Amino acid sequence: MFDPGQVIVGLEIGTHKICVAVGEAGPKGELTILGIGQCTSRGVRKGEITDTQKAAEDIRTALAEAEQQANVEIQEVYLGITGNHITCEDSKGVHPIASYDRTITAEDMADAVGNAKQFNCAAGNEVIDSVRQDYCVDDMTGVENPIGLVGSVLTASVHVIRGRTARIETARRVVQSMQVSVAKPVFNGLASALAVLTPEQKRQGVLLIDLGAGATEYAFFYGGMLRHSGVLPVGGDHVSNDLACGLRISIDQAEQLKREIGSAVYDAAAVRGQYYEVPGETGLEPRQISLENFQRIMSMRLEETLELISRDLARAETFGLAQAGVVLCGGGARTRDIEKLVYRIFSMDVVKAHTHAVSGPADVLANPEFATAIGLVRYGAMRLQTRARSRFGIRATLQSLFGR
Amino acid sequence: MNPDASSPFADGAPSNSPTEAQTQGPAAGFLVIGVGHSGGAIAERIAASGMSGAEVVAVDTDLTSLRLLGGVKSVAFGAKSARGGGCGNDLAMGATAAYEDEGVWKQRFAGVRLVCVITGVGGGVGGGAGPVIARLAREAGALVLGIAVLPFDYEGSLRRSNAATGLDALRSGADAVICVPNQGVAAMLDDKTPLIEMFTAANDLVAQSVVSIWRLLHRPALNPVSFADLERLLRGRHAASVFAAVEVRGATRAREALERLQKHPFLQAGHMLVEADAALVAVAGGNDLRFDEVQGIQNQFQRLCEHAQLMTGAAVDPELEGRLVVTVIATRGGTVSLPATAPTAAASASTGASATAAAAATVSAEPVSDRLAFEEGGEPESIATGTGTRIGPMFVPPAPNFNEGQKRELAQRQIKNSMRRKKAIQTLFKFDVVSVSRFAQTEPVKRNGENLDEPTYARRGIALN
Ligand SMILES: Nc1nc2c(ncn2[C@@H]2O[C@H](COP(=O)(O)OP(=O)(O)OP(=O)(O)O)[C@@H](O)[C@H]2O)c(=O)[nH]1
Ligand SMILES: Nc1ncnc2c1ncn2[C@@H]1O[C@H](COP(=O)(O)OP(=O)(O)O)[C@@H](O)[C@H]1O
Ligand SMILES: [Mg+2]
Ligand SMILES: [Mg+2]
Repeated sequence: MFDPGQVIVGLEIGTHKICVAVGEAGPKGELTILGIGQCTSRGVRKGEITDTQKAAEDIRTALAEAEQQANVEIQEVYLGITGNHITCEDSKGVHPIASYDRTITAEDMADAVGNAKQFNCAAGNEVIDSVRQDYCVDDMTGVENPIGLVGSVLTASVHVIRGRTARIETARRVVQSMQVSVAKPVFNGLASALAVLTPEQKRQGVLLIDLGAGATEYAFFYGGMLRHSGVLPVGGDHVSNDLACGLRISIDQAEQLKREIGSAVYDAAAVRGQYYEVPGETGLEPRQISLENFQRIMSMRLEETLELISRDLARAETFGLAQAGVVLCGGGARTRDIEKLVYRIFSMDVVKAHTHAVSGPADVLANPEFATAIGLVRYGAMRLQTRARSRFGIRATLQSLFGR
Repeated sequence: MNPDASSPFADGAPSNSPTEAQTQGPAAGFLVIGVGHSGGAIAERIAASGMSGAEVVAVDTDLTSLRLLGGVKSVAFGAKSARGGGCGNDLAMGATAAYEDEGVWKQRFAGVRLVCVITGVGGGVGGGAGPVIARLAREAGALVLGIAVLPFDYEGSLRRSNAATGLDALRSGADAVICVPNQGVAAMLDDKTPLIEMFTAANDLVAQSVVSIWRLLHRPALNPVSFADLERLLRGRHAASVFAAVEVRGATRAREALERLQKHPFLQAGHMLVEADAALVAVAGGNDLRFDEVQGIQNQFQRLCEHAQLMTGAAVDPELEGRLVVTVIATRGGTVSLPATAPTAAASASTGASATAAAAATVSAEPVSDRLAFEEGGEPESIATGTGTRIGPMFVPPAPNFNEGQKRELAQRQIKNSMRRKKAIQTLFKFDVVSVSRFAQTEPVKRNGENLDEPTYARRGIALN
């Protein structure tokens, strides 16, 4: 079905780091990660490129490292997209069944889905991903496969992820300037979900949260389907910036302290009246900062971020039914006690992500920061698989990847 | 909390004799309750506009605030928890205060058909007690319409987050909730308008709308609107319901009414009409109401609310001679675009997602129960529980006779005081580090009017020690 040894590359232009994952899809579709390339990101803020020159340099470094590690030449990448410009919403596409006998065909399904994608799409925006949820035939709702049913109107319910064309184009051009082409832009939240969620979790109902530096992406699955997703362009950088402002320390110091002594929950009793000494900046005396303030500032930001996400998720009707809990990935998942805070807000079990059904160096797979890049590789692998299948005449769209 | 405690009304309100209650007449199936300062102020306006037959009452824990009201029956509650004061941004306290008199509320609501709870959900009493009162009324069998007054933008994120919590709670307590954004009124008026006038304007707009809904339901109509219609329109969709009413006189009144509605602050400059998926438009006038006026207005709305399922009503009320009143209620699916800030741990029992409305009795015009008959414009009546230790005064001294000027001054002083408190908190952190430095070159992340790039603690008004 599949050319053996197909190399697939995922590129995440993150706010904190650029990450390139090189994978190889085996003859049965199994994935092996051959190498990872990384570079600290300097030209990205809140998930979007703000300085193309710096971003290009950093991407080049990361690509080079990945090529060397995996011993391949990278020609094409799946490109992760995130940022404030992304909108994720459910859309309904209506398609009248015109055929003589009113029997629904695969073409009707595709047309209904196509209408859903186009519905309400503002000028200057484009569809990045669209994931089919279910169908409605006349007034019968919740139909999973309407082919062969008889009806007069078919309505497709589709979760559509759109982005500003110009922003996507900026990222694409930067990549292309390195003689690397973009196979497809993919929403980061979806990619991370592909890497770390199991089909069983998706069936039971699971929420994935990717806590990045510049943006926090989330995706909720239930009954094996994507039900809701979104981006909040707030992340670890905001935590550090709040700490820097409130404690009057530099951003770098704040970032370092956050990793060393930070915690997602504010434990008033444990830190009351305690101070922590930070080295003074060039030539200045060391300073004492109040741990109480430190924890309050940090927990308040994280709590607000998660709270905003929880409010948005309340829109998904099935959210209350989720049984598989919350899975955390991204660098922010390393925050101490983050599970406690997430549990407090969502009242669901919380686990830190581990990349599943992929082989490769153990330290790479356990790394929560790599979820997006690895997920992009998996996305590519699944797309190729679907393509291969459709060569055999089965009409299958990419949406089916996320179904069942 | 103990319904069996001897009724406080028995000893607290000598005026509340059954005979008087009976004289309320059969039309009084409608009870309007204004909760907290904002609710009370609106109730006052409603009472002033003469809703004969329906009962209007202002309730608050804050005796000072109640005493400022004139011309409306006022009732104090929660004497134990609030000790005659306000609940100062503490929703949990407001809720406790309301539950304290649970039995009494229930008695009063028994047999009432439609209860309209008007409340400023950002306040401690409004956001805490209002939802509880709504819930109790619904449990007593009434159809409950909540009217939530949302804070002005300037009131800051604590108020906003309280309002979000209070609104959620109200949504789960009432059958339907309509939001009235104060900021919408501000947008309509000149910035230089004195604060007090801003409030008055908002109150009048709400009062007008409530009166017009009541008129819709109670006046004999040619093309009547029933409680069932109202219920169908609002139930479960209160997340994004709005309402507005305008009253116009003169030869070109139909056109003017349309223009004013399209600019009405509660309809978000007509956006709500375009986006509505269901709407009710009712036209009322005196005997001089013309067919072409009704038809013209309804046709226009058919066009404006292009996506909506439209319900129409028309009523003739001789009292309205020379006037034309158009009432619009529009609803839209989806979620309310409201402050999405963290609810405080102290928030009342409701959760964010529990916006579902439970079943409500369909309402018909039957005689109202005699339990809830309030005397017009008396002194605040205390409903502290009968026996046991009673903290705070049981009998409230009669309201001092303020003239208009004095009232205004007192109100202004109150507002100033609350602003001073707010300022005092905020001056504690004037940080000299630029607060959004890391994000200086980027497009700010705005959610619900807040710039999320600014530190959370600063937006929350938390003082660092
Ligand atoms: N429209 C209108 N809104 C008001 C008025 N007074 C207060 N508000 C708003 O109502 C909200 C709640 O404030 P209050 O009603 O004063 O608070 P409360 O319910 O009495 O509760 P406390 O916090 O205990 O005083 C605020 O956000 C105000 O914006 C008023 O007269 N008219
Ligand atoms: N131990 C830790 N505690 C708290 N935050 C951490 C820790 N380790 C990494 N982070 C944060 O995670 C973020 C980086 O996550 P990552 O997923 O790599 O971001 P991006 O994908 O946006 O580049 C940074 O903001 C960093 O501060
Ligand atoms: Mg990331
Ligand atoms: Mg008050």
